[in-house]
Amino acid sequence: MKRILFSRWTSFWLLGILTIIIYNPVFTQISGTVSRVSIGTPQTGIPLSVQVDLFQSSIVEKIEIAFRRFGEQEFKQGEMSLIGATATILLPGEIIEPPFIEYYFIITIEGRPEPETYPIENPKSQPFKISFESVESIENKLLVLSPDRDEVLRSDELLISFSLANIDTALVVLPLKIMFDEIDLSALIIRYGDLVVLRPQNAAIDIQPGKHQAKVEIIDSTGVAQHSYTWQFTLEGPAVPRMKDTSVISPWRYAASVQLETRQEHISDRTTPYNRATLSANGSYKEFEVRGFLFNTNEERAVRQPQNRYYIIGESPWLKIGYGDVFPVYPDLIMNGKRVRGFFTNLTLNKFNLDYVKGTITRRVEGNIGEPILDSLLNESQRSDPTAVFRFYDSLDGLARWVKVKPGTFSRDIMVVRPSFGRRYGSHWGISYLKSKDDPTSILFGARPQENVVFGSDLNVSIDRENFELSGQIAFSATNKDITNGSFSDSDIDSLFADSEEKERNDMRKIRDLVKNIITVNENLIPLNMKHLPTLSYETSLKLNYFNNNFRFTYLRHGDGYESFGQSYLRTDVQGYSLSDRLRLMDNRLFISGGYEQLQDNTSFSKPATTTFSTINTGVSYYPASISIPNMSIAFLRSANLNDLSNADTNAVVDESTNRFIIQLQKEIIYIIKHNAQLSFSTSVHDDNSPRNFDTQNISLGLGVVSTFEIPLQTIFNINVNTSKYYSSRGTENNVTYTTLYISGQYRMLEDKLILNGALSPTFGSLQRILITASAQHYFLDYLSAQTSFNFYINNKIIGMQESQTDIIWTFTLRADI
Amino acid sequence: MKRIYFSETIKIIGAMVILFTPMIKAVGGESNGVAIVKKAYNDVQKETLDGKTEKAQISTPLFSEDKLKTGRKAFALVKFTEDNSIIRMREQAVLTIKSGGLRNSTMKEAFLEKGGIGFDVSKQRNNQQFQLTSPTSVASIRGTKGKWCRGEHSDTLILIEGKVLLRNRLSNNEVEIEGGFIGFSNDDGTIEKRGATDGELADAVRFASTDESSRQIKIEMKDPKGTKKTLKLDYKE
Repeated sequence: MKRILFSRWTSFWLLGILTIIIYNPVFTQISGTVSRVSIGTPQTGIPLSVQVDLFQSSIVEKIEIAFRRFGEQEFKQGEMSLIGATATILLPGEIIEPPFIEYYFIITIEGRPEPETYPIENPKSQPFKISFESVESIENKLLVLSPDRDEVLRSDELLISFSLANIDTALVVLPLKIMFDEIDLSALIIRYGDLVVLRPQNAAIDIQPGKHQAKVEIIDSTGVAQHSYTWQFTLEGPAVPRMKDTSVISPWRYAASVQLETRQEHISDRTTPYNRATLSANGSYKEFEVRGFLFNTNEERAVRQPQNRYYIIGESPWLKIGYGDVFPVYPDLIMNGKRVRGFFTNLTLNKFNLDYVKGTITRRVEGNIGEPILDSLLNESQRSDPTAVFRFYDSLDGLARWVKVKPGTFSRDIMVVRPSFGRRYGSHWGISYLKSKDDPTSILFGARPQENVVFGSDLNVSIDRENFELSGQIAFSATNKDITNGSFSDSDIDSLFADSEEKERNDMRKIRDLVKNIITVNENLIPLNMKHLPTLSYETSLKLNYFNNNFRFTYLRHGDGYESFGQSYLRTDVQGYSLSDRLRLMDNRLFISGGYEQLQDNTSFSKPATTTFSTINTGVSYYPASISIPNMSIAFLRSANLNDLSNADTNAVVDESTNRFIIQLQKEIIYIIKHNAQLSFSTSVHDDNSPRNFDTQNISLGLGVVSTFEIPLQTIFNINVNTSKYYSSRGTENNVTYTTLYISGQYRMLEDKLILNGALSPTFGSLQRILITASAQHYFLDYLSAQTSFNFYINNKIIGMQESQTDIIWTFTLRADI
Repeated sequence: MKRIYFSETIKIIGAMVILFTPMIKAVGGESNGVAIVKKAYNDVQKETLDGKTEKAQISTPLFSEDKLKTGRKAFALVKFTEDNSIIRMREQAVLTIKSGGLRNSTMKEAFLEKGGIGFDVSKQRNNQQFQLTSPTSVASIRGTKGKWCRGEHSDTLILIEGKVLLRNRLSNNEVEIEGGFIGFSNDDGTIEKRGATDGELADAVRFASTDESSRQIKIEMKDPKGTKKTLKLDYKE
């Protein structure tokens, strides 16, 4: 019977889609820009990969993800690495905690003044959620196969082996470091995919009986250990003498992968071709490694920021040097999530470390000008477009002519240096200096080139095996918003400070001479005075992990004028604290979370009122050992924003609150075959008591079932109902209600060498769209595969679209892993 | 115009395939290791799908469809890379490791042709599956330990704890075996179960939890005439 069913299915799925089974699928909302979101399996403390596939990558300038831990009010942001039609990012492990991580996307589209979000409506009050299927500690992620923890074994039977099968795929490709006691044996690693094997007997070392330790680290491209695991064991029996011949395993290792892709997008009666090639390769000799990456696309154009990507990195255990595109990670207040094209290095010694990067963060893009206008018409033109930039063009018959300039983008350089003292991944103290400047000569038609410097310091004290961690950072910035005319001249100072005494003007000249070596000093410099320290920011946090509690206290202050060109995503003008605790009970199967956060703005007392942002949250998650009881998570969050202005002040008064309730159930069901079912329900009610009355309500209900057949076929069924009510600025009530069905299947045949996928996803209601996708992937050889996919989008009613249209995307990819 | 472009694209793809296939074939690649031999005493052989045989020893990786054979007084301890599940192969057993699914490891199968094994299978997550199989039977394991033996006319499953669904391939009959029970799946399609005796349970515990400690040393000696003789010493640690 199954066979008959299968043959019918096969004829349908033969068109297949490459999707989703690998990652948790998110397909509950529809968008004209985002095709699919894929999330890795969340595990506490482990960085989590997020991938977004786009419909039309050529129109997307950049894509950012806003994310937060459960119970926090502020979303942190990071720019995703956009390569072709795929944007990826690794969310930091420190925010990956049950019961949820919340996120949404901010997509900047070429030619549009405002970015769009995904989900489209109310992303902050109704963001996407990443829930935990089960709770596993870091230690459960890396599976130690041999020796077991505290195992006693014979010296000649020593084998260090572990599996990366449960490690996120984004991390698996990263280099490994294995220490046997204090000896780095990484050069002896043998990998069979996820299986890693190492025989210390093959090294030129004596192996003595007694207690020993093995340590594994997964190192990311910035040199940071994304994953670390240590365990002890005891050897007995006779010692294993040092091997005379250590050439059993070649110290030379190499790997490479090539991917070629062609993609045709037929959208709005316009076909756009994309051709992309990706090449990555690495080779190593003992602990020295060189790796390179090259991505080339026909989307690369001089009028856009770079679309091609490349880097080459040389690395040893203590030094890393590279050139190319990199996302350097420095303390949050200094730099994080910004792409730099240039030179970078990381030096790691026992008690001293140095990080340095120098390169370009924006490439020059020339501006353009309009038709010349006569001097007599200039005033009228300026009145009609007050924000426009006009520039003198020429004189015609003695009459001046002007042109309206559409400013281009200056080339912006950046340099960051950070020496630190102590252990890079433990207790340390660091100081940072960032300098960034636009090159005013890089383009002809530009406006307001800028300059920025940041000084910072950070401290981390981590003791008692990281159960006690005190950390803090402080930074002071200075930004010049227009350096076109350079620093003040002596006559500028005399003219501007004519009322001051000569001594004061002389002091100003001295200060100018001192400071202008660091940053241009003129009237556009921020800060111009130190009252309330507007460009000072600091954060401090205390983490305690005792008695089954994860307690965290944070205090922060970000000045309203603080700015770092290396960090675009910092919320400024805010200060306050947050407290949170997560209690683990019943052998880490029951989690009780709670937290309170209170932040205030108006740090410089420059606003008419101070607004207080308060959030309180509580949640319970239960992951039972028995599969007959479902996993459960229930959470309630309340946030309120309030200032003390009266309702008469309609523009500035803030008086609003949001209540959110979330429940998720997940259970494995055996009915003929195995099913994994998930039910989620959430509500959000935003009550705006100000005269603006921007009330919103949202209810979301979702049911998903993943079924695994024996044939082997895996199917996914999802239904999601979403209803929102909100008020526009004119006071009119709007209702958006839609239901999305998602049915997909994946069938593997020819001993997994051919993978067929298919999906159908209609959306009904206020939004109407039908998605049909199909793909096939064939492994000709273990290391060579080809993949093709078709995506049909029948859009009948989508926000932002005037009329119905059918979009088609076809992709063909050839991939080889050597 | 579009047709011209598509035609060019097809040419490019064709060229890619032609150019890359031989180049990549030349350099080759590695597949995913499914399990590893953590211990191997005496005669343990690994046979790959293409018929190549090699001595299995500590650190020998096992890939899908690899066959492991233990000789007389031999023992092998196999660990699966995805979930740390353990199989202890006793003497004169023939076992094939199979796997599939995501990253070639979410569906695992230990196909027993001959002999007996002890198993200690970790709790399987939602997307994981572990099966003990033979030509006659399929036992779907969720996370438990016990003993799995293939006799001349039937398979025997002794379970120490948990539950296992035992199915006979010939009749499709199924029975759920609980901890403390023994199940028989016979070549005639019948399937039965009963409470295990203390002796049977103790035997299952030994199979599932303890390593064979018997080892053999071969010493080659020459007599005064120069004739070679081999001295075999069996010992237990």
